Amino acid sequence: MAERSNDSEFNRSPGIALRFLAWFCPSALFEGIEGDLLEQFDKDTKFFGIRKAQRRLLWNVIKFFRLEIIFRNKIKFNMTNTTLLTSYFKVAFRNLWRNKGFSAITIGGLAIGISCSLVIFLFVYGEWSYDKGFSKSDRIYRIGISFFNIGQFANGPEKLLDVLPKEFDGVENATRIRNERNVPIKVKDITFQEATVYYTDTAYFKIFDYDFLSGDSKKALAGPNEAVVTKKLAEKLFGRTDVLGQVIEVGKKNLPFTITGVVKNLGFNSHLKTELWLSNQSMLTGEVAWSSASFYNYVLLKPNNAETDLRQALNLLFENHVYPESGKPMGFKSLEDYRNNNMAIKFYVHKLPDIYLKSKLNFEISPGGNESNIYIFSAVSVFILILAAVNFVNLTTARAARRAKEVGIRKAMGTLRSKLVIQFLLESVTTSLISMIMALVLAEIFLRIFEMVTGTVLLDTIWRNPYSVGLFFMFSLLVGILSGIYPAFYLTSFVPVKVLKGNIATGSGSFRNFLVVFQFTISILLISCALVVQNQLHFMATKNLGFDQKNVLTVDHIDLLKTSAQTFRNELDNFPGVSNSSFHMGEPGSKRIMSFRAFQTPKMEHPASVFTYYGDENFLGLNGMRLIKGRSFIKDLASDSSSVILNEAAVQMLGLGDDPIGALVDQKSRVIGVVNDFHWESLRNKIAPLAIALGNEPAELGFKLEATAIPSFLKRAEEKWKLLVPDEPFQYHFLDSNFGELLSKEKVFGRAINFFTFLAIFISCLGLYGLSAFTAEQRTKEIGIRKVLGASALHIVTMLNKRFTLLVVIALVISVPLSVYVIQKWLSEFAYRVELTAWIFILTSLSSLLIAWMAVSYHSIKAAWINPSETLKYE
Amino acid sequence: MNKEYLGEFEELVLTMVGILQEEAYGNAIVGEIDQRVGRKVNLSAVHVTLYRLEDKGYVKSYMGGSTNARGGRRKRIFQVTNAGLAMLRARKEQQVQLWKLIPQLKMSAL
Repeated sequence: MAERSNDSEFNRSPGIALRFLAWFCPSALFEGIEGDLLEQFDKDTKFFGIRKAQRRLLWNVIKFFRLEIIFRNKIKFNMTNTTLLTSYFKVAFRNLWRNKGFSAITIGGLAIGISCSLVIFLFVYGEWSYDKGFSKSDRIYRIGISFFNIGQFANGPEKLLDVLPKEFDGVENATRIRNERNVPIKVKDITFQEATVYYTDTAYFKIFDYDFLSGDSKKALAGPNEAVVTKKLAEKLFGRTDVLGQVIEVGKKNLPFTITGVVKNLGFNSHLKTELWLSNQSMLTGEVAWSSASFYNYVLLKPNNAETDLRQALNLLFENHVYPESGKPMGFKSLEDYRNNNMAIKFYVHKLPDIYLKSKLNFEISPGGNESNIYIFSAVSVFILILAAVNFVNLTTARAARRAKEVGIRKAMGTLRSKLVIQFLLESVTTSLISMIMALVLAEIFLRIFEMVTGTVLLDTIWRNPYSVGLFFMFSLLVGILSGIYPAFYLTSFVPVKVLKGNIATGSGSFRNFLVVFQFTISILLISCALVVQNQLHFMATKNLGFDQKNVLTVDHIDLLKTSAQTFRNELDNFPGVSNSSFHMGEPGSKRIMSFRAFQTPKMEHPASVFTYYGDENFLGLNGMRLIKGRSFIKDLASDSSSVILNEAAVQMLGLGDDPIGALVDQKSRVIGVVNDFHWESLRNKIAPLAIALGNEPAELGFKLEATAIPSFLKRAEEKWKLLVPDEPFQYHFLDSNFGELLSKEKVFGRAINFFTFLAIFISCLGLYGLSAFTAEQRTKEIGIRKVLGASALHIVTMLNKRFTLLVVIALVISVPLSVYVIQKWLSEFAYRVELTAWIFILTSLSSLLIAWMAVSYHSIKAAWINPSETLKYE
Repeated sequence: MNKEYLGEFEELVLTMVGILQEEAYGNAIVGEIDQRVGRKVNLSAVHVTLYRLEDKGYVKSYMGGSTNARGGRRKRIFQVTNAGLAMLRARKEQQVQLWKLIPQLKMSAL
């Protein structure tokens, strides 16, 4: 540029400014602008001197950097296109409007599908995203424990985090948490009910990164009696957030804690659900036993350490500490012997992001999600999305065939094929985008419906995650393009003369048939699954559990009455309608209280722990458990304090054979009776060994009542309770609510499956309905001629329905083996389950055929009833 | 995209193109505006306005002969088209008409 000039003045001009101009300025304008700038530069040089002139030149160039200059050529190009674009849109909307019913089905179907799967996708995403928001989440592990074969616990011994960091240098930091639920908090004489409190230490906030609004994250909880609160809780307690140094009183003992930090509430899901953290110094007991589950132990590994390193370290720790300190004293002779025994201590390592969905240990710090349900939901939502997309493609392509004449005329008028392709693509994309917008509205409505049907809140709003909404926008665009491609390329490929003559084939239809088969395969699969799920739920709700759970009322926390418990019971025993009562600890269907006893018989190599209920002599009668052998406990018989009653499963496990009565199961306990195998856990589990023993520290008091006496009994019981311990709440529950609770989760799942099945059928039927309308219309003339030649209406309906029936039958053939596989997979989770019978598939087949016929017949019958002269006279 | 509308600055630039005739290019117009109405305007603003006027069909442009003064770069010379001239005339008449409609009371009050 400047080098081209002979004039020495210009060589000194800042070439960079002009190069910048050359870069952004369209070449057509460049010379004129550059010339003007150079002329100005020349003038400026004479007037201001070279340096200022250079600055002014640069400034002038920058001023040219504006949209009108940069995009001048491109805008001109666009201008010509907008007119065409508007015309395309106009035609698209006219077409939609002309076939209102058809458009409603197409758009509505896709909108329902998208909204439904959008909602599920967001829900599933929410479940997946648990704890992934912590910046070190992939290096944080929680270590659970199991011992004495009494279950696997999410928490573990206090000692673990004292020993592990010394033995394994891969630990960057470690923290213990102990949680306490429903803790009252007092602020200046006002008591608040707080859900959950975590007692932890200063390492907590180094491992889990929270945003500190005030206070020092590095020092928080370092001293005793310190507290950290979330912003939300601070607002609730104090009405403001600058609460550093304020004192709150925690628990029934009103222990004072000083707030040393306020953190922002987490912006993502986490299984650590608390708003209040307290120093745990007072909680540490220095307990030395390994067989303890008192603290949730979290470790943060150094960046270059993997999970396997941690597991290896725990193995070493097992060898060097656990075995010598815990195994040897129990009488195990070798490390291997101990390691392979189910009474031994085992550690369970879970990566932080896996805890919510994958960890199913006892005493989780907060209830986890259900991973298999997540898979089922995602599968269902993908199915529904595919169904809707298939529908859309199917109907759009079917309808496009009607526009052959338009294509012919456009081509005859000289429209390029490429323009026609763009037109068709644009139309289908417009339609799919309308669906997307409708779907957003529908999704909000779906959330409410789902909430009403299943009683669970999936999500508060879809706008929590705008990115995934964007993702679905892209998806609907893709569906639009996909469904546009077929008509765009197929229809536009015809020679105009042929098309205008009217003998255009509407495609072989085999692609469309395939899509219908696909849709119905999925629908049938869902129908049969839903039927089996309902069956299983009914089975579980009505199955004889082997004991009588009706009208048994349990008063909780009877230990609060202390010595007056017996008085309380005596007075209520006389209440009319009470037929039985028993002090106990533990009852069928409930794991609120868990106790175990270790039993060993001569036939067993090592002791085994058995879940144990403690009751009194009325316990079997109260729950209607059936004594098979021996006797129940006898009141005031001193020897019965060391007697046990076993269930059949326990007798078998202990190898007591046919005559267990009188057998010794530990140093002093003798078997006095055997009860039937009743279901004391969910029907998902096989009946496990169980023992019943006399207990002298009851926690609960059960009453067997007449159904009609319950309300008046409750009133009386509460009065008595208030008289004895006015400060403690009177709490009770019914025995059948235990199994009711276990079942309610399954019921929610059942309702959700029903809901989705209904949706899937609905969408498939929409498609079939639209398609049958299309075929009936296409064959109007054929039907007219057939009728003229003497075909009956019935004949024509059958003829039209035959094709769709065949498709549904093919779908049936494909889906039956598929459903058998899926259903068996689901049922295998239940130890007690319904048998998979043929009638389920017969019912499914009949109902799907019926549904298909209903969807198709409207148009078939309509077509068959039209007077042939109506359809034929226009030729 | 033919707009019947002409902005104030567009009108000014269009008028200058008419005045300068064969010498109507970016820099000259900037100078002319400065000289005649005492207004300092930006070169880039003038360029953009000229292109816009060209889009609207009121001016047309061609590349003039090269001179040494501009480092050998040619000037883009603008010319008022018939439509531009008609537009200017219409604007002038419009303004006169409107001016006549203003009650002349103010004048007498002075």
